[in-house]
Amino acid sequence: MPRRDGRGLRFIRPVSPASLYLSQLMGSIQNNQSELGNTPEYNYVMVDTDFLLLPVLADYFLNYPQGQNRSTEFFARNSTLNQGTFEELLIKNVDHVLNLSMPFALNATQENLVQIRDPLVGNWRDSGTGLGYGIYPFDVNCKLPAISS
Amino acid sequence: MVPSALRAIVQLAEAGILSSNYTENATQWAEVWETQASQFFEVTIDSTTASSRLSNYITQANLTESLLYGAGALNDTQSAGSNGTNNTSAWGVAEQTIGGADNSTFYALSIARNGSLVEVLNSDLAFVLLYANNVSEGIIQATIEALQPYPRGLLTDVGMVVANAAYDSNVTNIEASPLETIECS
Repeated sequence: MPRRDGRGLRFIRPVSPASLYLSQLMGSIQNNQSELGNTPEYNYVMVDTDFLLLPVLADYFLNYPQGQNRSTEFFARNSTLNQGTFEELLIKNVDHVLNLSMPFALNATQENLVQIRDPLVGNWRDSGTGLGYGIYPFDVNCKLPAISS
Repeated sequence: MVPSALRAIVQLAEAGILSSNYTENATQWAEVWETQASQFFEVTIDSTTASSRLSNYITQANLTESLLYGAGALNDTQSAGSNGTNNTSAWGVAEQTIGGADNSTFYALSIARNGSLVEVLNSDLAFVLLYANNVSEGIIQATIEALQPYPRGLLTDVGMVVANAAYDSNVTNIEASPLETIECS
């Protein structure tokens, strides 16, 4: 189910401002909510997006010259979308990642792998058929071992 | 993605950007995820099976058999392999093709609720290339195999497909191409 608690990451399909505007407009019309116009609607249903912020943030703050010594200033900012500072929201995401990864870390069975939340919109593949109706997606769960025979 | 997110927590904690309280758990858990998770997705296929599944797929999907020979779907392009123009192998050499030489391993697209593997070759290796800290020989091997011309791999004349069910033992849902045949010159 869509969440608005800020733990996961929001998923926005379009990439250009023009397509963003069109997509929001079309989305509102298709949902019979044309009165919403181009008001953004945020959706947290895809499980893969939950794990994307931390690697990118770590890379930026630790490996890029322009990210050095920027974290304090960045974390102090208030979010305009959710209540709280960026630091408070980041901690929510960290705790969320730890909660999702804990069952398998403590007992490495197939059932404890991370599952999709919604059978229709599991990950970026965006459909049940896109994952062959599987519920444990490869992309979310894996980083390949050193040698794969 | 899970192991990469856990490693990022460790890095940020070690740099003092996150609390050091996270370091111990995140380190141990990343280790478990990195070493234990991918085995559940492994699909091993021998060359006889790979070959018969490819032939069956070509027939069921109403594709032309010439896709399996020469440079396959990329017949108009320069062949990458030394034997790319002979009649036995596709674009690359046998060692770079799933089932081409010996047993091959690829990674299932997903796992169903009942535990069965969705044995579909897929492009999600890209996430490993994007997020993994050390790209191993195995990943490079799997990437090369995935980048063979369709239907041995994912490449077509109009770009890369994100999934290819040609090696799937589940053959119940192969849909015939809407075209009479897909011709390659």
